[in-house]
Amino acid sequence: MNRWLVAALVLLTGLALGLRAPRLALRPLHNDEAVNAMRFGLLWTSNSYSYDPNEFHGPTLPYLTLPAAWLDGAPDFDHFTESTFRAVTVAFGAALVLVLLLAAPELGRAETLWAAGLTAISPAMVFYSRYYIHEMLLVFFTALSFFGAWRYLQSARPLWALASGIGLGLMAATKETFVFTVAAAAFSAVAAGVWSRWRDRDQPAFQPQWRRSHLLWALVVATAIALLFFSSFFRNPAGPRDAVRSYLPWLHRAGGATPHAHEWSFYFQRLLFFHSKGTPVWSEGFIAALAAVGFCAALLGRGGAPPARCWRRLIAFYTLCLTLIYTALAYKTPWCLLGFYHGMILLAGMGAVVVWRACGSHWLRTLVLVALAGGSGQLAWQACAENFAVDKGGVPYCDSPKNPYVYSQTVPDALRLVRTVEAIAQVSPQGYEMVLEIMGPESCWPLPWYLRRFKNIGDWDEIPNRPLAPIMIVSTTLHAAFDDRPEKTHLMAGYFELRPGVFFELYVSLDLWRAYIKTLPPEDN
Amino acid sequence: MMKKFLFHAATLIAAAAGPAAFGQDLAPLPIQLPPPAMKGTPQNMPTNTTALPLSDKPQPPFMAPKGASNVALNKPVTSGDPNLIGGDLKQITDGKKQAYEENVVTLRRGLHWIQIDLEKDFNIYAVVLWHDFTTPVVVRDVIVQISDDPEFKNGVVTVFNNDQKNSAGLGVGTDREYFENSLTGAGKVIDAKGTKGRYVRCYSKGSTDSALNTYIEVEVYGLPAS
Repeated sequence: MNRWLVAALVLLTGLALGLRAPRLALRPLHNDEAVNAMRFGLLWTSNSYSYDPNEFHGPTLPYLTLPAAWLDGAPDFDHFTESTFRAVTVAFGAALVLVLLLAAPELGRAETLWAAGLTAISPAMVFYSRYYIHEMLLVFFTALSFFGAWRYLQSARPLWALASGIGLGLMAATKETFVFTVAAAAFSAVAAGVWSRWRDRDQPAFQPQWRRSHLLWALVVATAIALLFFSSFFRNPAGPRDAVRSYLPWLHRAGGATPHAHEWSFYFQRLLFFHSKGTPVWSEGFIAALAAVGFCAALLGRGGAPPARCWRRLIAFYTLCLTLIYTALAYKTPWCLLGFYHGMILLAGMGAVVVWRACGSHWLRTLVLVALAGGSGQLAWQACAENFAVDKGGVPYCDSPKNPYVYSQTVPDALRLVRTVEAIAQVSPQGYEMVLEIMGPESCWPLPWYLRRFKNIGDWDEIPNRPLAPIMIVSTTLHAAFDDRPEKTHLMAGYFELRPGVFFELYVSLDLWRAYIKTLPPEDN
Repeated sequence: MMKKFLFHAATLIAAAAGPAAFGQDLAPLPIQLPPPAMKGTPQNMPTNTTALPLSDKPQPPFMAPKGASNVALNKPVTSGDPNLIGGDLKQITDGKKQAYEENVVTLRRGLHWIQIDLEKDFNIYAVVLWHDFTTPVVVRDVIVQISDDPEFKNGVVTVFNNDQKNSAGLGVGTDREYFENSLTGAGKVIDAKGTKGRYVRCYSKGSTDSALNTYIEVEVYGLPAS
């Protein structure tokens, strides 16, 4: 391995970390992040985590959060913060740059460096590296598995088969959608073979090196890894069976039985042209354009050694197939684009070098260099702005629907609610033992995470037929009006927005409220 | 003394039970609404409030004993603020309720009250407030009290209080804030539950729009106390 390439990739990994790691708590936890954090809580506090086939995806995320939790040094689960959890995905997002070392020999050094640089600064990659969900882990394990498999087919060394098997097992244990990735890889293997035979019929073909026993071992390792995680390390025997059962509900959702059904262009709107009044135009069109060049060059190009040609076509067909699959599925959440977008970034790395090499003259190359630097600068600026800048109204873009990657995000107003409830708990004789009820047909997440110190917290879809609790957080859609009841035991202390357009009312018992307002500083008259 | 206590107890019980408990016929209050101050969906509505969203639907009629009328019309008005910024206190009971600048009485910033002397005791069923409703603002710390003591030291009944943080020092309010309804011109109708009294005092402490206190009209619906 070229030491300069290694050094450059390490530097680019540092750049990736520099863009991903700062100010991880700037944005409140999204409801999915909060659910994942509480699922980790089951593992951390009572070792009672078990895989749920209906929701929440695979077990790698909670288990791989353990090192971050150990390193955090917090005395207990209640003291973990948003940063504790997001550090996990930051690590995998940065490692995605370094793992390109495995792809470099056939991808080419310059192509690898461009792909690594674009991975480091891609706004989508940066944004979702700071998002405590399964997606970034899936993309990393996919890269590990595929690059490992490719290295194995070059050398037939069992170590690479093992690496690929580990990657595959971890993919399976991360997210159910890994089947789409595997399907796209299988399709790309066939398509690249057929295409190369037709396109390069007058040239020697790539001859993969492999042994049946190695492949068998790789599959055994993959299965063993998946079983290990799904069974919660042998503590949940039903886990592996549930892992198979889980495909029924997920197939249902993929077909459109979900509130996340969106039109086919959903991902492309976010990646290519996203604009709201008063904000910049957000676009990763630079990567998409280079990817298009790389795609054409991979399919049509006839230069280079047969393995390199085949490898590039594999990436091209894989990216095309996975993009089509995710575009065709009705179920769409913006982070699902990461899988095929990673393929696009690899193609963009190839495209950048193709464009550079296509320019013969010094002046033309200078022009291309300026254009490439400008495009990269725009991506880096966008990555910074989407994660750290604020709009004209003072709202951070990382929390604003004006950001293409923000989706059903928790509004910071929810933290005002949490602060108020926490402050009221301080004056309650019961403290965190006080009963706290959340009512509403909508998802109340991430409130259970932020209110996790309350030991007697419950939530209902509707108003339960029981005495009123000291504190109740009630969806406005329920029209609770507890303050209008003749007994006048509670007042409505304010509206709080949880997600855009989703409001909750805070009801507090009068005695608690009276004690609470005594703690407030006197108002200026 | 005992007789007075019994009388007050009876009044309170009757007031808690509402007008129907008096065995009187009920009828909608004859409240005349001024024209709306604006049409369409207002922009930039304040959100830091406990008020229900502004509605352009007409309010349901408020039922009170038949014959209850506005007993505050042209009655004398005083204020805790000796230096008005604009208008004249007597405009608060002059019956002119349109959201015109010349109808607005403006008191200085901070907590201030205006007080209406009904000139004799009434059983009061509703107090209707119109602060400046040119735009849909939320007036802060609205407190309405009724008393037969002009100093409001004795026999004070609070019929409305949305000062949840007790910044006025008159007790923690449990009522919600509300929008001045510029879409319908409807004032805030406060159920006074037949409370007997001669004086009505209204507090406020600025609004979401301004630190100043404004009034256009206050109506008090009641019947002479027997």
